Amino acid sequence: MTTVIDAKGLSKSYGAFEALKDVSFSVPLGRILGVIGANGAGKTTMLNAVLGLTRYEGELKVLGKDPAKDRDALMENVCFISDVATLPRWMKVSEILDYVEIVHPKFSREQALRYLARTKIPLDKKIKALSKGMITQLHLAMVMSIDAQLLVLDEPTLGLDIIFRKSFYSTLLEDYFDKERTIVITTHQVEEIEHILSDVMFIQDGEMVLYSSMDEMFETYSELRVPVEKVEQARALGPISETVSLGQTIFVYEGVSRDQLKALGDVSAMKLADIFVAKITGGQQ
Amino acid sequence: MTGTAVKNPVMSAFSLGKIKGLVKREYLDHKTGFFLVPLVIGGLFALMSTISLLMGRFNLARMSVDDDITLGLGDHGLEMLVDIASGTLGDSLEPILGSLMLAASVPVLMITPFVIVFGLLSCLFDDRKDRSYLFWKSMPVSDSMEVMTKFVTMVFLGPLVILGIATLLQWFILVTAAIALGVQTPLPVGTILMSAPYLSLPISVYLQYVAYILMVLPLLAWLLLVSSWAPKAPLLFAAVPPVAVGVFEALLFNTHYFANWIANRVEMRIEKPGLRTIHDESGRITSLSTEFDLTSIPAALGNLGETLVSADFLVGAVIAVALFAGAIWQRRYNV
Repeated sequence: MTTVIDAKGLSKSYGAFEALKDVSFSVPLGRILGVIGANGAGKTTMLNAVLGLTRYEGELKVLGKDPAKDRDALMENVCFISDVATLPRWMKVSEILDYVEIVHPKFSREQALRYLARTKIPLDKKIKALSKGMITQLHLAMVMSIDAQLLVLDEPTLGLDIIFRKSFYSTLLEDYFDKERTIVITTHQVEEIEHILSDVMFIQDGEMVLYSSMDEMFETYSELRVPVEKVEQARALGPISETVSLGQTIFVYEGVSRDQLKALGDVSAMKLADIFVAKITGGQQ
Repeated sequence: MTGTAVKNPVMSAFSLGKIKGLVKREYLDHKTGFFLVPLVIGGLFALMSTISLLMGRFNLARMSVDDDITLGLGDHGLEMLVDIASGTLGDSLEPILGSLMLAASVPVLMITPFVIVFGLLSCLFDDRKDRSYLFWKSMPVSDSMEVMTKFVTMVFLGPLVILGIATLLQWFILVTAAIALGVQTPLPVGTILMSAPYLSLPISVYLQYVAYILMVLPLLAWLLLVSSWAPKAPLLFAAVPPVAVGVFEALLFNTHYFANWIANRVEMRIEKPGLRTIHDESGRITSLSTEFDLTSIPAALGNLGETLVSADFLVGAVIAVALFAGAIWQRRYNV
């Protein structure tokens, strides 16, 4: 299996502040990885290291290359959208297509024009005349027309309305993703990408606190609602989080069998966002 | 044989196609300064010149370059032109026409330093300000190629467009003025039109320009570094450190080496491109010589060659390379 990203002891400091602490992970081809963390947790720092935008300590190989040294060569097989609306506003849509066509050997203009034909984006207008949503559509159309193996999306839909966000991810999944590509996504709208992810990583204070496939994660984490009389028994099983809601105590467990929990109350599978909150805050929110 | 074309990675990294794309993008970004503004100014001057010719006025442009040296001829220039063209004054017509043509296009050429200084200060800064560097860096283009094509386009290629427009203006004014004069004065139009330095003037002006740029290379590289690094107001960040160094030197040591070093570079190293005239009491030009023949390509090449081997250039080049490296480093890791 081809490894797309291989990080060993990845660290990054800004003066005394450690933005990334000894992070190790490996992402194979054909996965969609969601990187979830609070603001300032180190997500962007990690992705910037992967994209060769920042220096780092530790070992990092992306498609077999060192991103800090070979960013330009790497970008033939890696695409990214960091932040919303980073396209040069002074250029016309047709001019930016011309540019990418000249400098990127794996870009298909025909493909991009096919994607753009589905939108209302005019080719002869300057990018600054487009709405934020249209700029994101244009960027996505260009990125999807590049035959790359890794696509990194760092908050690509921040500030866009729900219609754009939904269509962004459905287009990505239906028209772009296949087993020959890997996508890494960070976003605050966890619920919206939950269904497309195959793997997930949690980052907290520069440390990777979880890396798991979605299937495995849903198996591992369970939520248990227990009546007052069984709270002590439930506590004895070592929950990672405990909260009280509407008179019931809710426990979250990591790696405890659901059969064992069923005897104490209502057991349910959890949503990604709830697992994240339980894991990161331990119910102390 | 697999039948598959495999790209050489080195060739791919330095492909001419990519450079073409980068140059085109840079030109588009600064098209207003390199094309639109010179075109409008050139058009206005062509129009003004046509109107004054139609009204029968033949004031030739004149501006002082230095004591006794002028670009163009001003009053009495017409009489003198007639004298030279008809062989009375005995001077070579080509450099004089060159001086007149250059004087006619100065308003367009004057745009160049402004476009370059502000263009260099903004080219890397603006990418950071609007965060478009995140898009540029998603392309398979190295930071050194990115930074150096910006510099080469701003300093060497963009000004060629301005020079092209200036040259068209020169030709237009020369031909229309010669024809208008030929109809109304004894000026031998044929001789004028045959002697004009249509191509040798722009070529030699460009070579002189390159020689000048080589001298101010460290100053231009400094602007590029500031553009890649200044947190805001790049013009301020470009000006304050050199001024501060100059002031500290003056206060602490009572010397002016640093200020003089900069001033010597900025001051025109190229030869004065004017005409030296001697007038009689009535103001009529009795003697005229070319201070420096700006239409001579060999002279311009000679000047360029001398510049290239001069210690001033070599010292400046070393400083410039260090500043370029700083700008590339900054673009690469610290945007």
